[in-house]
Amino acid sequence: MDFAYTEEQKFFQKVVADMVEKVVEPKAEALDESDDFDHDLFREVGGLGYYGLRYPEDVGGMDVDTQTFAIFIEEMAHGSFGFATAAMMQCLMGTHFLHRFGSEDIIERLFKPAIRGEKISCIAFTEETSGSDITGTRTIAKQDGDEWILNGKKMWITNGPIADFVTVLATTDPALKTKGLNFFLVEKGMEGFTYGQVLHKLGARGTVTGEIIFNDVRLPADHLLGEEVNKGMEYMQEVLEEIRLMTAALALGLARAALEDAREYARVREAFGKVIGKYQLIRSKFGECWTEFEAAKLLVQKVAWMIQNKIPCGNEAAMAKMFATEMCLKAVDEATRIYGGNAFAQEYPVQRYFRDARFLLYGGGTHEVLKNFLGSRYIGRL
Amino acid sequence: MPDKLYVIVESNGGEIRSVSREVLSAARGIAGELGLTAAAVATNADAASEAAKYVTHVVHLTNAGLIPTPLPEDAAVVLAGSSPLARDLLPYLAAASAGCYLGDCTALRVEAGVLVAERPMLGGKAAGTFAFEPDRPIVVSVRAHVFAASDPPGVSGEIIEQAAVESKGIEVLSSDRAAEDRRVDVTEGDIVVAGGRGLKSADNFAVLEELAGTLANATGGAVAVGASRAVVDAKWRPYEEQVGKSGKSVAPKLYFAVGISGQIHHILGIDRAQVVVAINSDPDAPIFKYADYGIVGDALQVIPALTEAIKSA
Amino acid sequence: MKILVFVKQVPDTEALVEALDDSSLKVEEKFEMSFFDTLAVEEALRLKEKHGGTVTAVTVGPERAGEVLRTCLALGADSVFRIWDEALAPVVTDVFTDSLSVARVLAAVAKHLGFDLILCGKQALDDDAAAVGVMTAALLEIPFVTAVTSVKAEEGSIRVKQKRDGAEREIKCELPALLSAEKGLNEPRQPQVMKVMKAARAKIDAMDLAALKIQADAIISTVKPVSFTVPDKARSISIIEGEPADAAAELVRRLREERQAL
Repeated sequence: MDFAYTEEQKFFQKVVADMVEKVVEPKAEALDESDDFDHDLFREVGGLGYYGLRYPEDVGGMDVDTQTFAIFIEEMAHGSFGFATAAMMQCLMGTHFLHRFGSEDIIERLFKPAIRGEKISCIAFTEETSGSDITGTRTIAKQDGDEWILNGKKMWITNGPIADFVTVLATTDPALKTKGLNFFLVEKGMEGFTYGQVLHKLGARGTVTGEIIFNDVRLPADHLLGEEVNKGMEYMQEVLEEIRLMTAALALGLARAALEDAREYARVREAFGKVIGKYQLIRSKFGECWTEFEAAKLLVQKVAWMIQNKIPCGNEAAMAKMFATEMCLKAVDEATRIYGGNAFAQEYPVQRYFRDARFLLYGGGTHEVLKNFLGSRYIGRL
Repeated sequence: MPDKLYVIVESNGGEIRSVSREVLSAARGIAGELGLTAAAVATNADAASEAAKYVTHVVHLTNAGLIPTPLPEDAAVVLAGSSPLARDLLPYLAAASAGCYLGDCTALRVEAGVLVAERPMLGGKAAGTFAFEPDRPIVVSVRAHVFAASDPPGVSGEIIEQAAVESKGIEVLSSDRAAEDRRVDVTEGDIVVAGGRGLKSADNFAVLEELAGTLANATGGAVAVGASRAVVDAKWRPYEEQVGKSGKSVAPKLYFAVGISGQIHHILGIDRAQVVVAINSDPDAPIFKYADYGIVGDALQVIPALTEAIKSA
Repeated sequence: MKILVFVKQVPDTEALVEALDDSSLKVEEKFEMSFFDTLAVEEALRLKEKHGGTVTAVTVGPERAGEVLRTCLALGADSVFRIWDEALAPVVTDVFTDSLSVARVLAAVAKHLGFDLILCGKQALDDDAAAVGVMTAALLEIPFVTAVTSVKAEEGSIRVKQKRDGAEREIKCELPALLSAEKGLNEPRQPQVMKVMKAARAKIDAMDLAALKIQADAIISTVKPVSFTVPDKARSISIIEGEPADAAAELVRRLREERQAL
């Protein structure tokens, strides 16, 4: 058993942390303030090659292991949570199904430019009637000869309104529930593909999140992303563990940013004649949060190792996502308490961390759904 | 047998530089404690004759180029005041003679018959006391005001003229006095001059700019202008200059907080500054709790006075 | 053009420093490439991109210092060398570097590898000594210019700008030569991930003194730290009273005399 990062992972972590500090972090406050997408920043980070981390070299990727990819996500979230969610979308959900099932044309025309940061991608799951429960999917695809015709509306789509292409979850028949799901590729400019309302968010700002609408969008055969029809749920399961793991990695990065800021503050801020870092009640907060951070990190490392070694880890990935998120929520809360009234002022990033952390509750599944899922797995069939 | 302590005398148009005069003033005392004879090297005739009032033996190097002659064979110790020239020359001399070199010392004294020096280490986070390997030339520069300048004791030393060795491979094509001040990013300043609401208007930052220019000329270091969040929010200054928690964290050797009240937001950004000077009209401003030196007063009166004081010092 | 870059790994500017007693210092284990050296590496790469040639990065330091060489590889250096030897341990520590010993090693490396131009940082951010570059040039008997803010290569020579005492000088320097980088010289790039991953896997070879034909007894510490103090972090304010002109003059005097800050 080995808990240490390899020498390569250590070096990668250092390089990424340095890049984030110099390139991403200086933009964090402006991203939060404007809640707008920073195209220059997106291209700059893409131009360095980061969006291709988890893909093989033959398609222009870096072929890194899962732990290394998690390091990237954690460091990005440490610098700007909002931008990290956009980058994670680009690296993982927005491009995964194109790589897995895309025709040569799709790989060359869309996938490769996307991992170079030249095209923006996203994935569209959520609808009015479906969130963590994707059986509620009502976006419908009907076969018409070789082609598909898509109708429906997706909500809460990160980068939806600005994406060059979208991977859309749709059903061939709602009655089939999970057995009718498929992924389709929709490109910007296709007839019938429009944008609805842009949503203004509490946190994870710096991405354009909103509705996308499909009105008789006609798709060529190769825009069904899958070898077979109605296997979308299986394909989804292949990547769900990784999505949950990376959501946990986002939580690690955000928690670390909050705790480091709180520590810096506790070293300088004085109350009743001494710096507040000398008070036991303040130290106790760090004692707890630091411990829980390390525990969450261990879970992340374990799940990364399981995914890397192709060991099924649906349960552990859900646990990692949930535990890291709860840890992060506590860390940002304690950080704001340490900051006292200043936590309420927009001048300090700590209020941003507090808002950002709420995103983690929904991304990768709500905790109510995950707990129910884990509990039923533990109890077994009744 | 090396038996001399040489002082490198820098001059400006025949006028001995103040830091050189300070070292000259201390030279005889130190040389005496070490059992050496104090001597000097100058590159200007007037400076050489002035130096000869302090020490008995002066080498006047004629035609000195960028890197003058190697260390005299009778040199046991070479002292100079800190300066850009000393930073080029002293390590060169030490290496060429396998000597011991320590630059920019903040104290220099004789203990138990040998030289001991002090200087900051680890970017100013610590200070060290240093000893030198015996039986080698010791080459040291000391910062300004480590020694006090005194009037010449009235010796009349002999002056020996010697031609400098020509420096090879280097040719100065031009030297432009009027070159623009070197402005650096606020995170890169050796000195940062930052302003806040106490300056009353964006236009009044001109007085800070002038102070920055004067400091750059006086110290030869990189000087940056910074700003508090309040004046960046008010669009008086660009975001790039913002110092503080949501701006940039700075670690200069010297930081001026001018008309900045000292919100914890700002304090978090200057925690690593070595010396902090606060200038504020409110004697109860929190900034004074985080500063080493303070002047209570209107920035618009104090800053021009400070600029003048630096020019005339 | 064959360019050598000398780089140094120094404690991170945010690393905490603690005095265990008056003769030992402890530095938090966080290291980075000295800031001025990052400028030297960037300038070397730009010269190579413009005029062709090779960039070789060299450091003197223990195994952990290999990291800065990896960074050089990730940025685009063609080759790297880490010089280390047990005999160097006493003169290159976490808290202090004996400049002359390191300069001797680097001069030997430069002779061993051959070069047209050497670039290094103006000074290392830990000791601010600004000595190793100049000393190496002295040992190699080559021309040098310190603290350059602009570099332009010409046939057989190099043209640089240097700010000093409020004046800007333009200097022509014959090759081979050594230049040290000042702030403002350039804006260092971020490495490409592809090169980062390659650099992460690269084996960083160490050369010892024997490989450079340096006698171990040539390495002695010419300057030795004997005791340390860590100044108290808490500031205590001195309010300077008086009319603006008097207060300003007094402030200048005290900054100079008490803190050597001006």
